[in-house]
Amino acid sequence: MGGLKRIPRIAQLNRMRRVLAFGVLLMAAALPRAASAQEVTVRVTIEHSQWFNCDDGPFGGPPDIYFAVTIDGNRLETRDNQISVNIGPGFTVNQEFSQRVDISRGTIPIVIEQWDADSGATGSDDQCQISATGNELDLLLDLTACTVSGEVSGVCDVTLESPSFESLEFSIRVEEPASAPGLNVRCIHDPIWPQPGDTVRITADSLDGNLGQRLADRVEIWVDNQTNPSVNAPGFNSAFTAGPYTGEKLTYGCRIVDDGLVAWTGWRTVAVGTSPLTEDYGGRIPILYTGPRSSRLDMVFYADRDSYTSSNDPQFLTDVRNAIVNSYYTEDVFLVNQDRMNYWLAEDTGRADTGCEIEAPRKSWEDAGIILHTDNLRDCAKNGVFSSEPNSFRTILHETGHRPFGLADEYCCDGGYFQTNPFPDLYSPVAPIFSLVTCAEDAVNVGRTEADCRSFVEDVPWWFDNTWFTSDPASDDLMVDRGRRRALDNRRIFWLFDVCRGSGC
Amino acid sequence: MKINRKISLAMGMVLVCAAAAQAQSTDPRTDPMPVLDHGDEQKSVRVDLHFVDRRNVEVRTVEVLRERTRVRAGDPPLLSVRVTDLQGNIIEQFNAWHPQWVFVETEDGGESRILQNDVTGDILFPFVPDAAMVTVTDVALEEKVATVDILAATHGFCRHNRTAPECANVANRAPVCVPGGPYVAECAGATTRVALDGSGSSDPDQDPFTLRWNGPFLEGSASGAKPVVTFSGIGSFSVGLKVTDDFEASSMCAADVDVVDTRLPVISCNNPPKLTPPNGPVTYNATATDVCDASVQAVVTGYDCYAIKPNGQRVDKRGSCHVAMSDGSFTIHGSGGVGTIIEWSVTATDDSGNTGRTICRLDIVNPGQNR
Repeated sequence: MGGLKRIPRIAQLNRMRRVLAFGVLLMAAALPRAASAQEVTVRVTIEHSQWFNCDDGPFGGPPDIYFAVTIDGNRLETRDNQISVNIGPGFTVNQEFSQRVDISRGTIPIVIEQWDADSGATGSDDQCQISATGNELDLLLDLTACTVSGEVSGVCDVTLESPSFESLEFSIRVEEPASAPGLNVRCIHDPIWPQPGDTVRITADSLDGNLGQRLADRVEIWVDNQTNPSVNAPGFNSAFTAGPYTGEKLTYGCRIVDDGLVAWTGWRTVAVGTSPLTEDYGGRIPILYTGPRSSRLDMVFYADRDSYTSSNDPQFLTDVRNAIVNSYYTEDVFLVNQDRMNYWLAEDTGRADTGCEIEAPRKSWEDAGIILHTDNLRDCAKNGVFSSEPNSFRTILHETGHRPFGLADEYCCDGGYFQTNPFPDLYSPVAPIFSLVTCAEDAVNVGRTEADCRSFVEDVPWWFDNTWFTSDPASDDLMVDRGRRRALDNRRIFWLFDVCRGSGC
Repeated sequence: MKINRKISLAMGMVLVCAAAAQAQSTDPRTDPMPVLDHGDEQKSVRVDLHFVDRRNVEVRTVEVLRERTRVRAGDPPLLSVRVTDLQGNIIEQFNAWHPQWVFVETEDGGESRILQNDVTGDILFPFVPDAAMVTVTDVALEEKVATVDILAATHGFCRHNRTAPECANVANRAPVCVPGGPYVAECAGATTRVALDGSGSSDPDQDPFTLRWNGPFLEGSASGAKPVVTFSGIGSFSVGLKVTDDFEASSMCAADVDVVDTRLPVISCNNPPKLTPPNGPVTYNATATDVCDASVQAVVTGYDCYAIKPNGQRVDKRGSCHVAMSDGSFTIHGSGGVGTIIEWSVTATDDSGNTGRTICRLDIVNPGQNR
């Protein structure tokens, strides 16, 4: 760790010397440079709308509404997540669009569009008029003051309306991101599913870009209180014991401040015991709930009924916590996107047995089910559920690569092979025929060349063998031997998080 | 050391830090706490498919869930799923994992993908009102392996959740109207009861439906699959049937009803079998009745008068029989004596032209035989 910290320390020292030498004014000039690396997350939430002029006419039926929100030039849309509105014209939307933006951009444009998806006889998509001066609503967001101007004026975190189109209600928030360049935060609570009367210990770690320890100016832990942090101290980490809890939930978050950079996990909600809250989720316990499922990946842990007494078995709760910390929270991609994932426990138990007998009573919204078991058996993954021993952290990551991220295996010769679109990690032998990108064509997009493409032959029983291509390495790779995430893996994972960001989850 | 240096630096930069703090647009103080989304009202359609093998796929269940659909964007192109409306327009197309794909840990801790037969997996997608059919294609095989009609399931859900937004305009096929018939009924008098049968009607979405009949029958309208209605008189009629499902789609059809009179009038001679001379003159009035017609006139159309000798020879006695005929009346003025047999033909024709015929017979006998 000392080696890892040396370079930043030297850099800081040099910077301090420059600052001291040139005085406060020059320091003021230097700070924005440091701050320029700081990103914020801009969230636009469409709360409510109506058909406006987008009904399909007397023969077309009610509209199928979707939204597109462009934040600083990056367009996110929900055409794959349409709202079918039969009882109209007003309807609730609650779709969230978010985008990271460098705070040094100052003021950024935001464009909100509303569309009616059409097909067949009703023709192409129709854009709904939600602005008096055009179809779309054009806004400007001052990132620092968090004020909105343009066709609508207002401030962040309050519901805004389009003038003349008041039924379109939305809000804008500017949040500190879950990570900053060279700065990450790992934050977890214990027990992972507290029961009424329990105290809850929350720990926060300040991490650098390589997930080594980073000495921070402030390590803050915020618990159920938006006025002041419960803990605010410099260091590598902090801990705080909250409770005991008698309500149905607690909410907390961790924040690291260092060198003008901030990483904030965002508030997370944790269910305490069973309550109407958990009943409302059909017996799924939100143990790390960061936001609506429409814009989050939802990972659900099941207790193998032969390994644990119940989903409240203390050993199971410890194993789940460890699985989160030692699998997902050891990977920067899951820390960077920790505010885009929800973790749940299933009150129902699952079962993992020999012969690939796995069962989990999944809900339709569960993006992946993880059955933890302590039996000595060969693990298995099918139908969106996989079994794992509690300490098989890399297995959890590998299977998560398959689902929900859709990564193919990259090892030879009996894995699961396919070419996804977009952003494949494996390239089909018939890619050119089907106008799919080839490994050679795509290599440049991940900083590689055609020479980096390797191939292997899939053994297809009773048929011609297939040759597959990839530019990810043949070892120490997430989808080869459960090693590190490589460029193609990362690209696909980040892409799916981006899809979620546009309420595509 | 680092902390101390930073404290010093901070002390020297109070103004700048203050400005930087102001520049922080949001922090935990203003970052809203997560709103639990258990009120999310999105619904999903889940189609459970049983893969006996790669080409032999059975639909196990189709159901609507009060839960949102998981992310599908990341799923690979193993199965291609199309959701279409009743016109065949594609509402949604997406990839899905193949349920037969199973990843099994190998002995060395690696992993191997196998294709497992006899497995069940689900296809999930958001419930939209227009959705009617789902087709599942095995991408590698380039073969359609399942076509699933989901309307029975979506209607089943909507039947119990009428206020759900998705249900207000759910895709719906009209019932199939089968009126039965053509119906032919024998006239039963002034009015004729006819049993109609619309039980061949059906609904492709397995919806309950009602049947409503109308037409020129006396009741004016009737309901049910097998009503009995009343027609007046005879003739050809057209009855209409309207079949309406519980999502208010309907179809209409019609059937012909013919009330016919094919039965002959029944003639009564109204004479005793024997007559003793000289009980004359005597008149017998033949009458006729008809099921369909209220009155039918009997008409005597001819007669015969003869005797049969013991040797069987027929003797014409028309010369010695004196009779008179008028409409249905047959009057005997002279019987021709003992042993004579008098026969007269009577016909009756109803309004439909059905003519009944009979021969009336009277044996002239000795007084001692007339008992």
